[in-house]
Parts: sequence; structure tokens; C-alpha cells
Amino acid sequence: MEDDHQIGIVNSSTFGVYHSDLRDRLTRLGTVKRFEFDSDISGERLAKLLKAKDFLIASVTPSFTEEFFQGNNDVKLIARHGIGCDNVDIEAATSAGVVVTRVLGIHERNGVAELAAGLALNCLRQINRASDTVQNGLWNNRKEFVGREISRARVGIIGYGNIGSRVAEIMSDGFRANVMAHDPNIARAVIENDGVKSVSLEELLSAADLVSLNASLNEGNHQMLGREEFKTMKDDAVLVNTARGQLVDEKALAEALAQDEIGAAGLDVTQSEPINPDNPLLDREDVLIVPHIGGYSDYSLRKMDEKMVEDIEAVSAGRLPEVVVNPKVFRQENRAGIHDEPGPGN
Amino acid sequence: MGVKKGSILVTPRSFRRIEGAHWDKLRSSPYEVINSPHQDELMTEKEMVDYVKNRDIKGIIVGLDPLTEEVFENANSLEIVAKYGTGLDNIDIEAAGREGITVTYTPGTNTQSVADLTMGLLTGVARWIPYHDRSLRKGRLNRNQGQEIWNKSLGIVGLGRIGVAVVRRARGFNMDTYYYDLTRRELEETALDIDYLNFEDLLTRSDFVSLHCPLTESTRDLMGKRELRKMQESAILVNTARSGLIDEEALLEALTSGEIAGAAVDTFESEDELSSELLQLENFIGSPHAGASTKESVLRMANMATEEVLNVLDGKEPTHLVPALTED
Repeated sequence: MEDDHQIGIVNSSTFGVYHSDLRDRLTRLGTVKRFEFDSDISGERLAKLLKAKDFLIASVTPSFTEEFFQGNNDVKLIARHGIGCDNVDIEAATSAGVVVTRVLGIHERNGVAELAAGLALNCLRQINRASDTVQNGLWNNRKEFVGREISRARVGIIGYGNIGSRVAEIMSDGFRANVMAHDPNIARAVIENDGVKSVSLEELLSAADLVSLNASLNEGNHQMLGREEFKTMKDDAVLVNTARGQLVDEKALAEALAQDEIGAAGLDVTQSEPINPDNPLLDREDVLIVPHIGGYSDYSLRKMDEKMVEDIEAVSAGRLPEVVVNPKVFRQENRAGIHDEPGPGN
Repeated sequence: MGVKKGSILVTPRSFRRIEGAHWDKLRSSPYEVINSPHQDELMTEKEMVDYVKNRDIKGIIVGLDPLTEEVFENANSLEIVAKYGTGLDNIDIEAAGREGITVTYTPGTNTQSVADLTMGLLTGVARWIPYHDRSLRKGRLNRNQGQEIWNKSLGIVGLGRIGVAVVRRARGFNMDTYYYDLTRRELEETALDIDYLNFEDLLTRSDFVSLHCPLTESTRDLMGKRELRKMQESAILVNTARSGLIDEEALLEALTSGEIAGAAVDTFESEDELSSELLQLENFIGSPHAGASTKESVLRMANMATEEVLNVLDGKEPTHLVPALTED
């Protein structure tokens, strides 16, 4: 007989929406309640409102701060319904003995990489504008849509990790494009072993017809593509960003497009999200913007939901969950009461 | 420059607008190049007759302008017509034959471009790309769950040159591919290691169906009410081949009633077709017959057509004669 656990779903508009079987699996573990808080709610107040909750499924907001962990003694697990954990103070969670888990990056690999390829194709062929033309009956404009092929294009991938390496595969295996990559954190041999040329950022920007941003955001690469970089790029190059909006200086991007320093951009991410309705990029015909849907696909969403349910099942049964953000927590006093010996290489 | 040996008339707009090797070849040839008198519109039959009668035209590189019996009967010095493209509806090939005029075309030049667009439309529908872009610009922030395509199945209808190019791309995404065609394509089956399915099995088993067959009497309305019903509810249909392969009314019904999940069609070939209610649906992408519209494809067509004209006028054999007329 299971205890009646208290489970809170915090600010997630998608968990269980598309996969009712997983929602049902969760309700078998306890009482489930959905919460919608202001994104800037204080940790202190959040701690009170989430009193007596055992497990949380947490979205990108609000922030689980040190004050939250000091003020709330009940929460044993925060399962992040996503990959990034910027909104959880991991150190404070660990000291308080709270387990933090997240979704596996591999589950978004195809979803994001396929969207990058889709945005590239839709930009190169101006599919959005062409379909607007048909929809609005502007028949004579159709002659303007002379695009380019990918098989003749040089594709440059910035960030050759989980997703970038998959974009490279799709481009070279499927489209026989000429693929190069830049990633200062991955050994040249790893990249070249895939038949992809490892190049400097400058070489990539000056040679690529299509640039795909697939880097994760860190202290050093904030706005790594700005005015100078756009000047280095080809006049008709297409930029695709499915990584993070902060990698791009948006003002410089709008200027570069207006000055024909680059040809077009396909963006799944923007500097602020949701996008500001006054963002000048929304007025441009050479930009294709979608609302951060890289992981918004059948497989990714299912896997995300599934991971949350599995983590709660594991912790409630006293088992170790997979992919823990703060594994240290199991080698000390913790609220879940689960303990683990350090493994080799850990 | 010596005396010119006659003229070559050039009509297609994109041929004229794009710079490339085709212009170098034409300019250095012993023929005078005459452009169509129109910027955008087609030449009329009357204008054509006037040109071929009075301007010593030896060769024509033609787009969609009418080359009728009347034109050929008045073409005293015409030796070759090079169709810039593959559709031959605007050329009376029989009449050309009677007058001893060679007609060539440019097959295969748009293969890669059409295959690229097919994948663009497929991912565009699967991930709602134009839909989301349009929504955001109207200030709507809603997100629709998309479909990933790896590990899903793609049924190709018609395994010709373009069908093969689409299979190659789909495999880069790790899709499972199979095909249906009126005749078994044994060469391609071996080369690609692809399985043949009968039409009904292909429709029931495919997550995505892409059409790549010509329009003939037997393929008209190939996708009708019955066929669309056989498809899965989550399936997506793409047509970059010919309009007429899909019964549009049946498609409209299938998309609005949820019999299939989405569709994209690149075969809107004239202004008259734009009234279609399909164009207003969120799970539909309509594209203005842009399959061949790339710089690379335009240059391949332009070079091929130019070489045919210059070769034939130089007394050499043409490379891409139009297919012989079948007897009725």
C-alpha cells in the first residue's frame, strides 16, 4: 500500500497535456495539484505555498532560491521538466537535502536538430513567404522566390554537441552538404572522425552559406554573434538559431539583415521569451520566427513527461532516479532517505 | 565582331535575369541574341509569328510562350527550339516535327531542388513552421505539438529521379522508406535497398506520404476520398509533383475532419487555383509551384538549353530530345 504522496506541478503548461497515460501513472502515486505562480514570486512565499508537497515537477519559472529551501522542509524532489536548471539554486537544494533531477538532453536531440534543418529549408526556399503569397492571392510575387539548394551549400555548425552533431549528420548524410563545425570544447579528432571539418569561428562564418547555432550558453559566449561576425558572414548566408537567444546580438542581427550583410534568419529562440511583440525582427520578411518549439514534439514531450513520472516513482519507492543534477545529495543526510556509495570516476 | 549568322530568341524571365556561363556562351556565339519584348508576361502567338517570320530566328530558348502550328509554319529559318524546363504543353511538337525543327528539353535539372523543397514542406507541416511564424506575427504565442520524423515511415509514390532524391534525404533523418509505383523499379530497389508496397499498404502504413509521379489519365485524382481515408489520422501528405493527383475537395474534407493530420502542396500553378479553401487551413501549406525555383536549378536549365541550341546550330546532335510522341 502506497502512502498518499503530495505532488505539485508548478507552472508547467504542458506536463500530461498530450500524454494522459502518464498523467494517470502519476495520480497512482499520490494527489496531484497544478500550481501557476508569478515568475518572480519570492522564495519565502513559494516555500509557504508549497508546504506539505513531497515532489515537484518544475517548469522554467519560478526560481527555487535559498530562501525557498530554508523555508520549506517538505519537498524531497524537484524534477525539472526541461534540461536547464538555472532557476534552481542547486547548492542550496543539496544543503537542504533535496534531490534535483532533470530531463535527458538526448531526448531532445532529434526534435531540435530536425527543427534546425526544417528552419534552414524553410528559409532557403522562403516557404513562409511563398505560402503567404498563395494564401493572400498575390500571384505575381511568386517569381521572387528563387531559393538555393542545400546540396550545394556549405553548412557551418557552431557547437558540436548533442544537437549540433545531429544537425551535421542530417546535412551530410541526407543532403550531401559540405559540413564544417566549430567547437572549442570538443577535440578536433572527434569532429573530423565524423567527416566534418573542424574550423575556427572566423573561417566558419566567412565560408558558410548556412550557419546553425547549436552551442549551449555559458559565461564566455554571450552574444557571440554580433556586428563584426555578421560582417564576416556571406551576404546571402542563412543563420539558424535553435540554441539560445542570448548567443546573438539581436539588434546587430536586425541591422545586418537590413544592410544585406546576411541573407535570412530562422529563429526558434529570441533574447526575451516569449518574444516582445515590438521586436523589430517580427516585421522583417527575411526572418522566420517560431516560439521555441525545438523540444515541442511528440517524442520529446513524451520523454520529458515520462522522465518526471519515473523520477517520482523512483524516489517514492526509495530507489535512485536517473540523471540527478546533485548526486552528492545521496552521500549525505537527505529528505528522500536514499543513500548511495560513490561510484568509480565519480 | 563579324557578321552574325542569324538570331536566337530568348524568352524565359529567370534565364534572362540570372548571370552565368549561359550568357558567356551566348554572347560569344556567332548569333545575335534577341530577348522577349516583355518583362514578365508571355509573348502572344501573334508576336511569335511576327518574330520568327521577320527576324531570321534560328533557335528559340522558350519558357511557357506559345509555339503553335501557326508559329512553326511561319518559321522559315528556325532549326531548334530548346524548352527551358520539362513541361511541353505550350509546344506543338508534332507541327515542329513536320517542319523539321528539333525540340529539346531539360530533364533532371530540378531534381535536387524539388527534393529539398519536399523535405522543407514535410518538416514545415510536421513542426507547424509557417503556422507558428504567422501566429507570432499576429501576437499569438500558442505552441502546437509537432511530429519528429526520425524512425517514422515515409511512403514514396513514384520512384523516379525525384523520388530517389527524396529517399536519400529522408534516410539522413533516419526515416523508414518504401515505395509504390505503377511498375516495379528493380534497379532502384537494389541500389537503394527499398521495399515495394502495393498502394493500399503504403497508404495504411506510412506516417508520411509524398507524391512523385506524373499526371496521367491513370493517376488523376490518385488521392481521393477513399485513399485519404486509408491513411493514418496522424499522417501527413506532401505533393510537389502535379496538381490533379489529389482530389482537392476530398483533401479539404480529410484535413477538416481529422482523417489526416496535415498536408503541403506545391502545385498551385495558376491564379485560378488560389480560391481553394485549403489555403486557409492551419494544417495546410500551399506553395506556388516553387519546386524548381533555385539558383542552382535555374543555372542547370539555362546551361543545358543554351548548349542544345548552340550544338544543333553548329550541326551537332542534340542531347535531350523531347520524348517521341506516343500514338493515340
